[in-house]
Amino acid sequence: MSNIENIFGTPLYYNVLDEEVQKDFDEPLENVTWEMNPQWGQTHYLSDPTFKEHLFEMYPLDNFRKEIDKNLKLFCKSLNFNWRPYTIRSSWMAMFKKGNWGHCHHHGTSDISGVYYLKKSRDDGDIYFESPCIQAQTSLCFFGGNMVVPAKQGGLILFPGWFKHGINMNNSDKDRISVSFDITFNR
Amino acid sequence: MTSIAELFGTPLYRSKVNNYDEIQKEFSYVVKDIPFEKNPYYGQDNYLSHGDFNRNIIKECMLLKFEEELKSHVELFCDNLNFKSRSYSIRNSWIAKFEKGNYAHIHDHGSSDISGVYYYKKCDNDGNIFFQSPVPQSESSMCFWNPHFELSVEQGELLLFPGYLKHGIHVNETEETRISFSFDISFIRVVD
Repeated sequence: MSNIENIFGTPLYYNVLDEEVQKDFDEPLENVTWEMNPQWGQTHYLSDPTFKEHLFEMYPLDNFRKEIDKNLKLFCKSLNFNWRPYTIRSSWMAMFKKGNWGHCHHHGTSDISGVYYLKKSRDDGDIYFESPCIQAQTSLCFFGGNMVVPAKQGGLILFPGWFKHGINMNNSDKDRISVSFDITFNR
Repeated sequence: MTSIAELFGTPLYRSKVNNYDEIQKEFSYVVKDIPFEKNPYYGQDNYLSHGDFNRNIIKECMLLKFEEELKSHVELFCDNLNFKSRSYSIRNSWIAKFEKGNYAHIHDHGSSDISGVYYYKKCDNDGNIFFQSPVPQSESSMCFWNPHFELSVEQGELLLFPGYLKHGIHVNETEETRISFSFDISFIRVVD
């Protein structure tokens, strides 16, 4: 009897958040000035292309904060990671118009990063993750490609900050808006 | 609805051999005549057939029963990987012997496509194999720390894994000798 076990998988958390979270972003969406990062080409629009502005420092976002906290605890429990205080150290919004996309990137030293889908419809570009195993990427028989993770409006994805990902092109006529953030646990 | 998925896991194949008695018999003829030596560069870790990895015991000793058995397992593994199986060669194979106190340091099998090990002589506490995460980022992560995966296997079992997957063997704490056959497989590359 043969058995195949997949070991050392990279955990990815998904949940749909309370609808009240959407209301938290009424004000940020009214005030935002979308800009592209000039060094990235014509990829997509950001609430702050320098990533210096921090949405949680500019707006209350109480519902969103509560939902992040609740889901982060669930994720950490599944990882057998002992809970400890944390900081949301950065947060920003990204908008993808028709033809926009997101290049493959990681979130540096962030312990856990996340994305919340404020406005999302079919064909407006799904997130994909790149294999974190370089050896698999160059292997003849072991898969080391990309995996697309479809999400819907109101969905939250949590993942390791080091996990490389990108966003496929928005092929729809609708704008896609997401909120990203980085979490650092207290050392 | 909450869901947690594990993405990009590394596949590890494990099976008892079907033709156990014949395969054990085939290996028994080889084991008794093989000169075992320690590799002087490795310290006092374990004994290797001819002291190195440059031979191909399976081919040299015509271990046909094992070769035939291995083929069926490689095909099953490839099917599971959605990799269209193609001709391959066993490019090297060797025997490792672990007396009390012996172990194997963490290593990989270089450019081998699929590597494997057959447990010819194995009992409890004579040293489990463990694998090291192929994702170095997780090794230095506070919350995604998952460095080793240890496996307790039995005599007559076969493991197949990516040649790049680093692994080692814990210390043999018994008075029994542990003997395993390792091999590296390379699929034929098509050159236009």
